[in-house]
This record gives sequence, C-alpha cells and structure tokens, in this order.
Amino acid sequence: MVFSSLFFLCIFLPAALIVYNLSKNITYKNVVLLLFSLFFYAWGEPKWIIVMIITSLVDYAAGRLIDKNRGRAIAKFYMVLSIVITLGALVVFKYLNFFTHVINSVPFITLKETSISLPIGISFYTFQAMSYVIDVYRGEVQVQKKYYNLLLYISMFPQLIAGPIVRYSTISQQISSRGVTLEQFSDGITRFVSGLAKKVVLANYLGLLVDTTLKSDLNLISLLGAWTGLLAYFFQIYFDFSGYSDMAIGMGKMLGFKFEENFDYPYTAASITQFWRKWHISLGSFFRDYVYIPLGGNKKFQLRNMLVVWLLTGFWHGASWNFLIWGFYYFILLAFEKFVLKGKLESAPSFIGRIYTVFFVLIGWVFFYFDDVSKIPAAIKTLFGFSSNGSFGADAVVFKNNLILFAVCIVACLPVGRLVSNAGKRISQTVGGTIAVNFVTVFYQITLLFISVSCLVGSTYNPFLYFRF
Amino acid sequence: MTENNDDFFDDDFDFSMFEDEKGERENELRKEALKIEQRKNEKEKSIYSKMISFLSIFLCFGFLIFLFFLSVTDAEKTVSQSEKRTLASKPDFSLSELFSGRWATEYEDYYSDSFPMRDAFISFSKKIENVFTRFAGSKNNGVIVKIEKNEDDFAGEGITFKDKQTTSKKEQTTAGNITQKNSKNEKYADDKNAKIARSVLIVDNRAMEMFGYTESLLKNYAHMVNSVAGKLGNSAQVYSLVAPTSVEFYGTKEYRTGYHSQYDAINKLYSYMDSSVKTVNAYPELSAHSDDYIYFRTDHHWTARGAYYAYTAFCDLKHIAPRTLETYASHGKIPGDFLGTLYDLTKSDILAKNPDYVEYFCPEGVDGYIYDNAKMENPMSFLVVAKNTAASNKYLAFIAGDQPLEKIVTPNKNGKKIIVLKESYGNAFVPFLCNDYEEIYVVDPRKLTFDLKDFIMANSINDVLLINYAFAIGNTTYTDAVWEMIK
Repeated sequence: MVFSSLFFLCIFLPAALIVYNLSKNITYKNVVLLLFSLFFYAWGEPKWIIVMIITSLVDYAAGRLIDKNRGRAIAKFYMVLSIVITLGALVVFKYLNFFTHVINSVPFITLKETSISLPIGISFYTFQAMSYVIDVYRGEVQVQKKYYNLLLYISMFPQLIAGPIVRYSTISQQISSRGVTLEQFSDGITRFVSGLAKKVVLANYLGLLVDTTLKSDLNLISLLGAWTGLLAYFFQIYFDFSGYSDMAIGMGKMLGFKFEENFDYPYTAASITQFWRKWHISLGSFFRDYVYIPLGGNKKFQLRNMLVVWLLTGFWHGASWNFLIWGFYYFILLAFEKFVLKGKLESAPSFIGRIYTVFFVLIGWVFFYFDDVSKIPAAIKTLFGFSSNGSFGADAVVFKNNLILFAVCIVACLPVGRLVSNAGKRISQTVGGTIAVNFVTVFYQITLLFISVSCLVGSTYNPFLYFRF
Repeated sequence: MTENNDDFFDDDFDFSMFEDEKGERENELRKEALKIEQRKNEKEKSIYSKMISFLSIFLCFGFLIFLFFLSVTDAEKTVSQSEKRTLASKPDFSLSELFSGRWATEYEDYYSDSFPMRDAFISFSKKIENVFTRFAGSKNNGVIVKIEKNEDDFAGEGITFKDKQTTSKKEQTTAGNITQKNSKNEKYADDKNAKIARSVLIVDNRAMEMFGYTESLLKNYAHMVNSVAGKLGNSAQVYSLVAPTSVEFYGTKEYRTGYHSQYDAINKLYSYMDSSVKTVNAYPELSAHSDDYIYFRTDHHWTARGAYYAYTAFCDLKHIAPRTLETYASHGKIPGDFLGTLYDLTKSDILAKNPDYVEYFCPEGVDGYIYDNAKMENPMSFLVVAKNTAASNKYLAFIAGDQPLEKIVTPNKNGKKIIVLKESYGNAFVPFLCNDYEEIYVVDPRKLTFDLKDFIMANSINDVLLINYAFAIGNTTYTDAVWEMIK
C-alpha cells in the first residue's frame, strides 16, 4: 500500500487512527499499531512479510544475546552474525540478479537469474534493523526485551516503505511512553497534507512531464526539451521523496512519535557537501555512523572511506550500474570540494555556491534517471548541445506551458514553510492572533487535502486514448 | 542639554528613593496582575487552539470518512463514457489471489474506479492541471500542451474495453492459421504510438495530436509495404495511402516543420517504396481543401469529407472519375453533438463549448457483413453508414467501427474487388469505394490475422489498399500485425 492512494487515505488511515485512539493504554496502542502495520505491509506484499518477520526476529535475538554477553567476545560474533543475515536478505532480494549478471559477463559462466521481486521497503527496514543491533552492541541504546515492540519499530507503517530510516535511539523512549495533544495531532495533519500535496499534485504531474521528454526518443528531443525534462525530474524526485518523508513525519506526530527530519531544503545548499547534509539526512547519517567512521573517518584513509561510502550510497538506491556511477560522481565532487576547493566556496558569495550546487545536482540526476546506462551519453550530448536535434523545436511550447508549474516548484523548494510558521508563531502571541493562525491552518489543511484527493482521483482517469474504434 | 533632562526624569532609582515601599508593592502587584493576565491569555489561547485543532481534525477526517461512507452506499457504475473503458469491478476473492498480492491491487483499482463523485473530482483536478499548463501568453499562441499517460500507467491496468457494438468477440481459435486477437494487444499497440504522439496541442478550439518521425520508422513501414507487394507479386496491385493528420494543416509552425513535418515524412516514405507499389498522394488534395471541414476538432480522425478528398486522389491514380459529393442523395448530419477522443484526453472547456458534428455521404444499395473469422462463417449484417447511430462516439457510424473482417457488396457488376487493410482512419474512407468496386473486403490486421495471399486468391481480389494515418507509421504493433499476414 502507498500513502498516496485513495484506499489508504479514505479507509486505512482513518480506521487505524480510530482504533488506535480507543484506549490510552500504551500496550494496547502498540499492539494496534503493530497489527495495522503488518496489515499495511501484507496488503501489497503478502508473501514477503515473512522476510521482515524473520529478519526482525534474528535481530531481536541478537540484541538479547549481545546484552546477555556484554563485554565478551561472543557479543561481537552475535552482532556480526545478525548483520550478515540481515544484509544477506537485502543482497538476495535486491542485488542477486545484478551480481549474477556481472558474473555471467565472464565467458563460460552462466548462472540462472532469479525471478524474485524486490519486497517493498526492504532497503529501509533492513537498515533500521541493523542500526538497532549495532547500537545495542555499542551500548548506545537499551536492549528491547519485547519482540513485538521491536517488530513495531521495524514495521511501523508511516516509515516502512519509503523512510526516513528512523534510528531506534530516536524512538526507543517513545515506544514505551508517548502522548499526543490536539495541537500536535493537528500539526501532524498539516505536515501530512503538505507531503501528500507535494507527492500527488506536484511530483505526479512532473512525472508526466518527465515521461514526455526524457522518456521519449532521445533522438527527438531538443536542447530545451532535454533541460525541461531534467528540470522536471529534479523537482519530481525531491517532491516525491521529501513528500513521503513529510507524510511519514506527519503521521508519526498523529501517533505520538517524533521522527527526525529527513530533508532540510536541500536545493538551497551552497555546496555539494552541504547538499548531502540536507538531502535524505537519515541515509547520510546512517552511512556516516555505521560505515564511514568505523572505517576510520577523517583520520585515516579518508579518500578510500569516502569512495566506499559513496559507492554504497549509490548502490543502495538500486541494483544497477547507473546508481554506482551516480555515487561515484558524488564521490568525485565531494573529494574535489574537500581537497581542492577547501572551503573557498564558503568564502565566495553564496549565490555562486548555490548555482554551482544546483547545476551539479541537476547533472547528477541524469545518471540517476537513466537506468539504461547506454542512454546516458546521448542524454549528455543533447543537454550540452552536441546533438543534431536543434535548440528549441516544439519543446519551446512545452517549456512555456509549464512555466507556472516550475514557478510553483521553485517556491515550494524554498524554506517558505518555515518562514510562514515562524511568522505564525509571532502572530499567535495574542489571543486574536492564535485564532487567526489556527483558522488559516485549518483552511490550509482542508484545501490541500481536497486538492490532493481530486488529483488522486484525477490520476485514475485513464481514458483509453488510443482505442481505434 | 536635552539628554541630561531625560536622564533626570527617567532615573528609576531617584523615584524609588521617594516612593519607598509603597511603590515596590505596587510594582509587585502589577507584575502579579500581568502574570495572571498572561496566564489567562495563555489559557484562552490554548482553549482556542485546542478547539480549532479539534475542528481541523474533525474536518479532515470527517471529509475522508464521509467519502468512505459515500463509496459504500454509492450505486456501482460499470462503464465510463468519457474514458471509453469499463471500470474495474470488484475482484473475486481467493486465497491464491490474496497471497500473490493481486487481489489487493485489483481491489485498489476497483476502489478508485468506483470512487464517489469521481467525475466531479476528475474535472476539478483537470482545472488544477490547467492552472499549471495555461501560461498567460498571447491569445494567438494560446497553446496548451496536454501530456498523456505513458506505457507504464497502462501496463498495470489490466482492463480491456469491450466494444458493445460488435458481435460477441469470443476469444477462440477457429481454424488453423486464424486467431482472434484480444483487445489487450491493441492497447499496447497504441501506447507505442503514444510515444510518438507525445502530446496534444490545442490551438483556438481545435485539439491535435503532435506528430514526429524518424528515418528508421519510415523505412520500417516502407519495408512492410514493399514486402506485402513482393509477397503478392502479380496476384494483386498494392496501393499505399498515408493520410496526414490535422496538426499538419492547423498546428503552429513549430509542429509542422523539421521532424514534425508530415509532408516530409509522407514524401520520404513514398520514395522508399518499390515501384510495384502505387502510392496515393492524398496530401495535396487535403491541403487544397483545408478551409473545409475535413478534420474533427475534438477527435483525432478525419471527417467523411476529408476522407473523400483522399478518395479523389485514389481515383486520380486509377484514372477513374470520382463521384462528386453533390450526387449523394443520402447526405446529412448524424443527429447530436460529437466530442471525440481528444476531448476525452484533454477535458478542455474550449472543446466542450465547440463540439463537432459528423457529416455523412451514404452509398446506395449496399450490403455489409461482419465476420470474426477469415472463412467468413457466421456473418452479421451491418450498415455501411449508420445514419442514426446512438453511440456517443459518432465516428463509429462509419462501417461499424473497427471490425475484424467486413465484406461490402455493391450493386456494381464490374467484377472489381478490393481488400482494404486499415486502422480507424480507413473507416470514413471505405464507403466511397462503393462507387467503383463490386466487392470490398475490409480487415483490421490487429483484430484478425490470416494469410493475405491465400485470401486474395480465394476471393479473386484485384486491388489491395493499405490505408493508414501518419501516426500508424510508428505503430509497430500495427505493422507487426500486417507482417503476420504475409508470413
């Protein structure tokens, strides 16, 4: 099930919240949330729920065993074993075919490719499960003694399929005690509908624009068409991804959880280094804490450590060469900033850094978009005017027609939300101000919700366009 | 000077010296009062914000739950007129379906297809899209580009459309080499087409599909036509007619030049064809009459009048005099307005306000039969022009829409027989052939396949006409279907 579906919005979410709030008892709440989460997962992935249950069982046992044998060498063994098993599940389901393919390119070897599909959310929940075991081993969190609570942490539906990668340390306290006030709940709604609108109003629409440009025949698109498509993709991926995170954080709030932020207006970053501190923060910090620093961090073999982290980051996004290239591309950029620019960017006027960042992030999305690597050279050629398709062609109209969309997107990328909410806080110092701000909020919520539902219904409008009568 | 004065008056310390304890107490009281006031204020604020938060929760979830209850009580709709497809029906429950995850997907499809007030929500969402796409440009250049769905969107659908006008299309294999194709193939066929079509352009009150070509597509299509001619040899004469579409005559300049030019595409295409293929030059005839009502404005087809001008080009090539339109005694408009496929796609208000009408020219004394098999068993009769069709898609008036195989018998006793291989562009064209042929066979290669040469020999057919509109050039499923007939 995805959040941006009518079934989720009108049936699952209201039902879950009603049942969840029938009692104030925390055990009741946890059990209800767990059952709904399992249903949520099983709805689209009935078979592979077993993988999630088994990995969490393994990591639960590992946590208990590590805790029991604290200080002994065997504790480390349990930790490594559980990581091998958890990561093994990820490798089997996500990367096996990729490796088979690579091995098959060696002459005389032919391995059979498997036909298993990727279980939804496996990239996220395996990472969460591993972070729990490692943190228990490091003594950074208390071991969870109740299996269903650990399963709840791993399977909790707001963050299950598209992140953020919530650390156990973030919510370990909240699992055993949490509460929601009406205001917090309403804040959660605001956050949720903002994310929903990002996803279904902006990202989905941008997706169509991307398909008509980048997805069409690359031999046909002009210079302007290619940039229009790339710009659309640049916005699409941000609104899609951060929209999901917003929805997760918002629903978390409604349920009494406080997740960490996952995006911090990344497109306003003034350097690539800064961009990665603002983009998919939970993934970056995962690799920082569990790969980069254990490898030696800045202290030894920094360049190697960076290479490893960025190749892994790329590979995490998908089992395909283009994601490895994408990761490597960021390794080059970050190494360049660290060892060549050395902070010159920070001392330059910030608009230079911002333009530089947006440009290289845009180009980066080319590698991300084309999972067929053979298409990348042609795309780059078109983008830099080395193709014979002309500069404008018919795509001038496509670009012109979407100017309003792009303007909306630019505004939505800027920290407008933060500005408005700060202004709201100032205004609500008086009673009248509070009432006004609250009413504006209600209006905002119900409007965005209505628009989002319309767009969702509208997206099911599938006229059978080319039916030849 | 003034500064000193201010200092003197503002000095608190001096004051307290004189006011003493009394002032201190007053100060204290004032602070206390302020605190109480503030606390009261906070309390009031908190009450209001609690109340309004409750209101927001009530409204948002009330809205969602209200929609849910509507969907429970709503009467079920099965066919969407505007989308020309059957809506998803409630999936049958079974454990195996459940475990494969299919049941859940189908249930979600069913739920969104049967969503309450679906049409109202859809039209509202179209309005939002129009906000994005309507750039406040000059009036002359009032162009809206509407982007269509891509393959992937269709791929997950799994819904097929059943044309209720036709005979029941049983998916059965009748005899040896004859297989009936289901309509799902066609869906994919046209998606490939969509890649080339890319978008719909609206200029003034006319919607048009955008056209584009590549050399390789032209060569593929020409190769297909050449192969048909090669396979048939002397047994029949092959004619190829590729019709331009409306964007060529009414689109803005940028959509008619370069790789968008249908003039270039068709001329190049014809130049790639062997001399044994006779190419019908419909373009100049249509171009000369572009002030007439030769294309629909809300549909991707040409009108009967447009098809007529292509027919005159065909007659020129055959050195016969075309029947003039004035001689059609049965000529008129099909009752009712017509909003076609491009309206369904764009839902444009401009189009809705300016609907099309369907003009017809009906040949006299002709009989038509539909078959779902190449042995021509179980015929069903049909009207070559259904002057009073009740179908919302009025283009279906011509030769009953796309049928697997049709045979039209005319009063001419000249022994001339033709087979037409076509998609829907041929539908408006075929009735004009009744003037010159004794028997006309019409086949839609996507719906029925058989050995073309055997069929031609068996029915002693003289001419073969491959008629397509320019978009079909890139429709590999269409061309593959023709290939299938000359294997």
